[in-house]
Amino acid sequence: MECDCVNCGAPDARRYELTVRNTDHDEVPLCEQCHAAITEELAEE
Amino acid sequence: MFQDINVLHVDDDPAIRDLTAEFLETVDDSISVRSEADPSTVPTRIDAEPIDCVVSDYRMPELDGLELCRRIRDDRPWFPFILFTSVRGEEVVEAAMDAGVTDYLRKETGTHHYTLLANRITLAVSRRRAVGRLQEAGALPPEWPPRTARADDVQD
Repeated sequence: MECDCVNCGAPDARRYELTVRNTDHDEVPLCEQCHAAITEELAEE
Repeated sequence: MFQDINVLHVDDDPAIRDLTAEFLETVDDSISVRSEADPSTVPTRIDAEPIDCVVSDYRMPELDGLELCRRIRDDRPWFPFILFTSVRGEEVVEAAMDAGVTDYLRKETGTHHYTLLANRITLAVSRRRAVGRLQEAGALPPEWPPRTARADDVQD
């Protein structure tokens, strides 16, 4: 099912698992570019 | 030395709450973020906690960001309030200004907008603190700047 990216609002989001601040978030709707940018940024921290 | 800034971030999405807190505190270590899922509790939290600025999403299920801003403005005309949204359109910007937001920032692809948001928060809080210091010194009246009429206050 199509949904909007929660980070930028783009309509072509897919659902990803994301761990932020030791919290696992399931099925976070993100576009490909935001997912790449966020995972890269989180990996650097 | 710059004082620390306590931000209350309001968003119904738990992943965005965590991401916003993580990135804001990483790009500016003077910023400390508290998170809130329920916008209706925000006015009470502002009264009870040392919060310097509210950052709010626009679209939320029970209460949208603009209505939240109006509720805060009822008693706190100059409290720093930043609308942080992916919703685009000139009508949103106009509605945000009419509701009395301090600033409006559109979410973009990637993570750069968190750096912009940190800068806007620092600017809004610095201005508010400067005005507060001048008011305490008697250099400005307590109700400065004077409240301007909102569009919905204007009668035909």
